[in-house]
Amino acid sequence: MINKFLCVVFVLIISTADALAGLSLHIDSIDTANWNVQDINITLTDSTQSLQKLALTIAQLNLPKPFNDLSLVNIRCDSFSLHNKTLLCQKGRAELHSPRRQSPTADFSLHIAEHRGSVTVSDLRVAGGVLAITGEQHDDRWQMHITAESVDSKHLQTLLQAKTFELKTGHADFKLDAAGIKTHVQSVDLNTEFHELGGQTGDGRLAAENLTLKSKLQARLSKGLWQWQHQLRIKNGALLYAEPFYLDVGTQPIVFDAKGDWHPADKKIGISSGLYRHGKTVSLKGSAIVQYANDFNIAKADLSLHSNDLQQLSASYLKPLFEQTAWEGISLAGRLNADFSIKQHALSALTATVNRVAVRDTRQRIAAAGVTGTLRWSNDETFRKPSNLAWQQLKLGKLPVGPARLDFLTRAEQIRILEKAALPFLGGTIAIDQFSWEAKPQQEPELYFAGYLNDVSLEQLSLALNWTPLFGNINGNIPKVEYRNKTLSLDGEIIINVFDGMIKITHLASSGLFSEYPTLYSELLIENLNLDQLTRKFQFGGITGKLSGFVRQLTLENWRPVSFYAWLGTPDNDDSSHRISQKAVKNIANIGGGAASDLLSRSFLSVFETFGYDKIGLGCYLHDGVCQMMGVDAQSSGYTIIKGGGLPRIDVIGYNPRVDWVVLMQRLSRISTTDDVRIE
Amino acid sequence: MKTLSLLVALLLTACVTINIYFPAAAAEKAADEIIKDIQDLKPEKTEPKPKASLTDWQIAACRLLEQSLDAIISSARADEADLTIDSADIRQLRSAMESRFTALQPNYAAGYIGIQADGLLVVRNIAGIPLKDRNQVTKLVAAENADRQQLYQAIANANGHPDWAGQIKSTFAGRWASNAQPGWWYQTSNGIWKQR
Repeated sequence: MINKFLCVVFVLIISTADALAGLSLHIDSIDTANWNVQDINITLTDSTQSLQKLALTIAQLNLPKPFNDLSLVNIRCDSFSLHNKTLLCQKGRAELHSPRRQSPTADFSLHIAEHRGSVTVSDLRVAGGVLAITGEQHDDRWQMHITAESVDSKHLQTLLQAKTFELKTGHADFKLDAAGIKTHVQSVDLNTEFHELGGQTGDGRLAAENLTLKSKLQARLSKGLWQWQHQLRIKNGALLYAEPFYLDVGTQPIVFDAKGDWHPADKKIGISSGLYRHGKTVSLKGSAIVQYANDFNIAKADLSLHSNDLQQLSASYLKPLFEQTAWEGISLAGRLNADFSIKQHALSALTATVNRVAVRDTRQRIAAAGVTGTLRWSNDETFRKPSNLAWQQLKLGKLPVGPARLDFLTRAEQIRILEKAALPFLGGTIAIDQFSWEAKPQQEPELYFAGYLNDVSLEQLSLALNWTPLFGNINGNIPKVEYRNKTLSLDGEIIINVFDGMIKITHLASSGLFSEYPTLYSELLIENLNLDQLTRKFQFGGITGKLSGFVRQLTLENWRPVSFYAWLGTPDNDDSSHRISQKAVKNIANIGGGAASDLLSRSFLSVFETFGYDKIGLGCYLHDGVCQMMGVDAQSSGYTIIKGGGLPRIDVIGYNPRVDWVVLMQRLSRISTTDDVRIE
Repeated sequence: MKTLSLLVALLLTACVTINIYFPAAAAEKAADEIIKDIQDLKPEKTEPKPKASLTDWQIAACRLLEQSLDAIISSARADEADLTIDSADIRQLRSAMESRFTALQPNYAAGYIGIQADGLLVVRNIAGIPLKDRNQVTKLVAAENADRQQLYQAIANANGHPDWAGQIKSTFAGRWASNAQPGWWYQTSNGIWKQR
């Protein structure tokens, strides 16, 4: 080795003052096996003492590739040897120097021989922790071993000049073993432990608090291909945020194990097997190929998901995806198994089995329990495997649907029911003869539905909706449902048989039915309701006779009427008994402020319990929050609501043709009525 | 004669009709009404101010003069337009924004979010938001901004001028900041953030 020194200059300095008080040998530089040693001085000190010390100092030691970013400076060795082509330094001290910073002095040892060299720096106190670094080189081969204990994360960030992630708390231990040939890394073993780490990226989209984790990475290069395996354990108590997911690791540690290969040239990572497990909440395992040449892209993946705790799964992994969407507030409980495949970053096939699943909604739009079934879907348009879903309990809004099962086919952009189904509904059935849905690119989806309502109990419906109990039934034929301009429209008609008469609902349509602000459109035809039955139900005061009418162009926004044209009155051909009780007259007449009540109470009319009438009628054209009122007859200054018949004759006339809708509702809620009563 | 000249000058001044294509004043009033309603601050009922304190003969003279001027400079005349803020879309958006305000309010107050100079919201201190709330705040801001943009377009559409959406947005931009509650952060037109 020595004969390879490029420049060797011997300088012998003999002190003349104290007769060989010191002896010094200077070598400009030594270059061997890519190690470069500069400004070497060997000095004999304390030569006057019986035990002299020979000290080696080196101004700078430049390391071979791939460590050539590092150098050691201000080296001093009290124990060294320089002979037989070998430079050996033990019990030395040195400072580690990089282009960006210089460490304090640490323990140092060096061994440079003809074809090999090694250097060790230990007890290096940087970043609040202790580091030890060993590098060895033998011909073209090298290996490196670094251990670090209790490195403060803040200092570590400064040391690494990491700008993308700001570390605020915690400390780290790590151990790195790496080996290679020339400038190529051949193997890496990295064990890392973070303790109570806290920090986040500049944009806040990745963050951690109280993160304690262990990570173990092993990677070997073979014929241009890296084989790797990785184990990660996140311990209890960590809080993690990776937009949009927030994970409170809580008492259920997270495990992520994977192995595979890495093709640096193709910018491709293969995961031959991977497992992500978050306690009992979820386990996801499978294989994948990921490409990162341009954007991050899952080229292919086959994954299996299993959850015994869908409640926690939906809280941790689904809720973030549902925020500020129509799904917000919906959560699941129960068990789920799903196998799915991804091709070119898109779902290509899915088989999901749900077992005793419950669906809950904080907005109470839907609730289900005992949901069991298998959903099979593929993006293949020839896919034919059926899916099914059954439930023990289902509630849509306040309306319960009985236990039922649906068999259907889902493929590509389509859902189609395979068999006719009859869903028990309020004592009757909702029959689904046909149902299909198909998404169209750049267009609104196509929807087709054919079915009918059969003998749905009005009593059960009124109970479910917390109305005054009504008796009757609802039938309807819905031959077609369309979805256009974000509006769901039903053809056909729903017929409610109630109070010995009939209410027919047609032109039913809705937009945003399950949103916070649903809009509903409809037309109603009311025919021959028995007023005696109707008024008994509402304790309005007895009225006998029939009632017919209509509500046209009804628009409800958020279940409140916005506009309509409505008329309710005695039908022309009604030959039934027409009697109205004092209470009903008072209730109709009291809208104006109660004068009629006083009049009826004080006059001789108080001896009559009922009065005859010829016609009753009241209409409203609601627009811009104002109801334009109308009655059976127009008067010069008002409109007749009750036209008397027989003696004593009683007429109720309204004098205010325009009534604010809110005011009208307030009056009706107090069961109050019109402006004046004229008694003849 | 001097008095008559002065009177004619006064009449001419009193009768000038300004041609306003975009009803900026009405838009500001509408913006205030909507914002206060969303933020549950009922706008103060202001009695409509009399348009002029002219006597009947002055009004008659004005009309006559205006009709005469119409024949000459008809293109310069336009009525001071009002701005409609009532349509199904607007009602739906206002309802959604009113519901969302309850969730936005504590984030305004904590300084996590602020009103940009363009009237849209921004998460201005994401690092300060607890991790469990971070996604919700981000989504709230995104949803609110989407609704604000849709509201401007819906108002423009309701007034038969879809092209007014940009001007309505500009009008609202200032009004959101003006209606900010104490402690809220807003950005001035020169990009500086200030706390009300």
